[in-house]
Amino acid sequence: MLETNKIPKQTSSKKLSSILTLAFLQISVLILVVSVSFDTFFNFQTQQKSLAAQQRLVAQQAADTVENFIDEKVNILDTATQFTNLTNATNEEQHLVLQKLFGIEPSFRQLVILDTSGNLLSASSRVSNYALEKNSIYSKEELLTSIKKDKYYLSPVFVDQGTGEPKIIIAVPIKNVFKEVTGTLAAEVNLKFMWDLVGNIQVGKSGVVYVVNKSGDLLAFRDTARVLKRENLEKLPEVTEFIQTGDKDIIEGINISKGILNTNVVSTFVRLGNPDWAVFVELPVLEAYESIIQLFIVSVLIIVFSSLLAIVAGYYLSKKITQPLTLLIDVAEKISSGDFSKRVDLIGANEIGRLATVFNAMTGKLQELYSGLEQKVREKTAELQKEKESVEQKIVERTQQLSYEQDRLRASINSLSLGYIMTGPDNQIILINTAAENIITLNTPTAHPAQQAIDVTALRGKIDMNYLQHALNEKIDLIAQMEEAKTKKVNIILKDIPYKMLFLNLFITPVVSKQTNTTIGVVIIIEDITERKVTDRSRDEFFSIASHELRTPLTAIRGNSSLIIDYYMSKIPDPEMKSILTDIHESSLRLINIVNDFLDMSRLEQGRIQYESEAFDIIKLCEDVLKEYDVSGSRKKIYLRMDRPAEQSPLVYADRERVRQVIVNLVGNAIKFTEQGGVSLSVQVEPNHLKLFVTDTGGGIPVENQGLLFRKFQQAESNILTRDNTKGTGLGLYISRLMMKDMGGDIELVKSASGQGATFSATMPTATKSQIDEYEAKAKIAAEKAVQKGIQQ
Amino acid sequence: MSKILIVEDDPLMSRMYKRVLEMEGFTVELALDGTEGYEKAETFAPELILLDVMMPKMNGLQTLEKLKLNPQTAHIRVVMLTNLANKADAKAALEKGAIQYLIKSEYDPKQVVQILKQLLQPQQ
Repeated sequence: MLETNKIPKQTSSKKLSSILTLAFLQISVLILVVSVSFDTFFNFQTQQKSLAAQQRLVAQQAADTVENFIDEKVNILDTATQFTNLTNATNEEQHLVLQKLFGIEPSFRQLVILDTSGNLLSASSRVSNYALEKNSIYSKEELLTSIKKDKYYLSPVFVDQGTGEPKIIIAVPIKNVFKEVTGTLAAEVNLKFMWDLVGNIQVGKSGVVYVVNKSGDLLAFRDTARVLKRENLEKLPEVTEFIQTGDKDIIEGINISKGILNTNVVSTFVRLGNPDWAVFVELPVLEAYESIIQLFIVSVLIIVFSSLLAIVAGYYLSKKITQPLTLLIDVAEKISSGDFSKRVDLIGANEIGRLATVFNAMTGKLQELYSGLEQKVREKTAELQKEKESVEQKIVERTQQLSYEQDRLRASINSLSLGYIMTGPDNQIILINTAAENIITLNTPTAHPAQQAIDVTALRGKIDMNYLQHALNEKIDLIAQMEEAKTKKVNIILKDIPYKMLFLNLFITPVVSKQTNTTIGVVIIIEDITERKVTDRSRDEFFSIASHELRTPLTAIRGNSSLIIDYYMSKIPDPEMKSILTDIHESSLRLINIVNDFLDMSRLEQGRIQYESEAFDIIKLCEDVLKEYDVSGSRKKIYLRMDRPAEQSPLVYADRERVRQVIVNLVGNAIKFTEQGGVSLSVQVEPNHLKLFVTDTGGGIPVENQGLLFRKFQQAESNILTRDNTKGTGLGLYISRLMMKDMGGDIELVKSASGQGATFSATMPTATKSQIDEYEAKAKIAAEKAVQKGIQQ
Repeated sequence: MSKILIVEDDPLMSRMYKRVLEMEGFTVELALDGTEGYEKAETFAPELILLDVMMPKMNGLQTLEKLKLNPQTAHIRVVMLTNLANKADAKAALEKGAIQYLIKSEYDPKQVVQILKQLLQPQQ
């Protein structure tokens, strides 16, 4: 089956549609915001310009009003001076003029006529107690200077102490017909009238106009209370600007600042020139920018509306795009879960339509492939099933075979008369056969007589290595031996191991896995040698005791017969009787030899012979032996020869007496079997050893008999009926070989053939340096003793 | 003539040696075990003792030790009589003061006499 890939179902299409919607929204909003911003910005720019112009216009208007007010007063006064020569007129005329002037102009509070020197010619006032002259707010000199230059004079604004109203003094020159300045007409003008003018100027819906002089004093405003308080407005930024910038006309642009009503206003001002005042026009910001704000609100509304529209449109559009995709995904999911029957139901010439077509084609292909694949899988599965069955069958067969093998093996092992124990890697017993159990539990005939002495009933069925080790404890470390066998992968043979009243041979063999070449345990074969041991001992003891017991009477026979021969032979007349005595003597000698051989053999086999090895010269020993034979073996006419080597041969290390015995045996045998020719001895040096050859020219040993040499009681031509008893017991070579082996050497038949003589070799170890030193030291002592002996004698 | 004491438990042996030695002119006394041998060594005062190794009551080695400890008998030459089986004991006896050992079965009585005569010679 195909593996089903889990597709995060909802998120992808949802995500896509929301992304698209968002993108659409973002783009529309961005465009709108940009366009509205530009629109607003340029609108604002335009609005500002027009506002500034409008304000300037209003300000100019206001300024004109104020200027007109002043100009009007000046004109009135000027006109009055032109029509009458006031300086020369009578007091009454002057007074009349002044009264008329009061009548014309309500803002005139006082009127005076002065000559050019400043002398009061006439004065008139609406309030009687007031005199212009006394006013200290203006400078008469300044007034006069200005007048003399034929210019009118405007005093600074001042406040009337009584009414608290702002006043100004306007003075115009009085000229005669020659246009000469003869005096001045000065009027104290109540600026309250100007307030009305200024206050009546309408600026927008809630705009204000006010007039400020160069000191920042409020001169005219619709709130007269503030004017009456003579408020100083130099703190207002616009006013500050006016005060500080001098004559410069900077009415460019529009400034937003705190206005006179302490609200945010758009303000502008216009200088009057003369008087040195400025008219300020303030329009509340909200009002000034009302249209812009309205525009802005409309724009924002448009943006919001457009956004909503964009969301709807975007959602719709994205749906349009993602719906087919979702359809595709659904079908793809079905396919991925193995259902190939579904097709995407989308027709169209656009990309998605084409995708659907390709997708359907692909699905068809996939379905084909998949069904092919399924078929193949089915086939392969069937094959596998078959193979599996055959393997299972094989396993069953093999298991049965194995089981049979095991049964056979178990039966084999159980049928063994030898004890068999197999241990695992941790020395635990895996397998133990009946024989081993019997031996360990002393259930054997050999243990029978003493069996009751040891209670082993508790042991049955739970024999383990610990028990074995415990039982053997002081005699042998079995576990250590097993470990050694395992680690060194060697067989270990433990002989004559006493186990309770039994004697056992243990053969430890490591079990090595062929596959891993590791030791997985050991096999211990247990051989009960008790019976053999007892038999051997009995036999050995028999030989030993018998030999010993036989020897004493034999020695007596030998000694007494030799006594007769040595001392009483002459007293025996009968030669036959002499012959009998001699036979008795020789028989006793032979018998003693036999018994000696038996005894030697018995002791050799029991390992009870002690060797007293020393370094000695084998050549000399050979010559000594040959000398003895030279004397005694003279019956035969054969040669006995020692072939001395050309070079000094090394000393050997052995028991001289035993080696002598061996040489005697070899030479004796050689002489025995040689009728012609003779016997020769030679040596050959080998590494660490020296080889002595005894060669005879006798009858030789037939090949078929060579195997019997060195065997107990065997003679070269042996057959119990043809045995030649005169030639000895047949123990000589057997004993010689045992002795030579005990001394680290050996005896071998080097070569022989029927009728061609025989060569035997005796090998023995050569002496080491320290052994030679010992030998030399002994020889020295012996030599000294000999010298001393000689001296003594 | 020289006096020889034979300490030997087997009368077959002792009689044989007595016979040949007397024939050769020695004065011979017999003892059947170590204890008797030790006593007779004092009373008989022989020049030489033929001492068997294996004997009842007191064996040859013990007897030899005792003889060598006794000043009265310490000077007497002792020759060990033995068989092949206890050659090692006989050799040990050499270190305890015996002058020679003889393996009984290896020598004819006449040879024994010759050896003894040789051993006694330097003294004479």
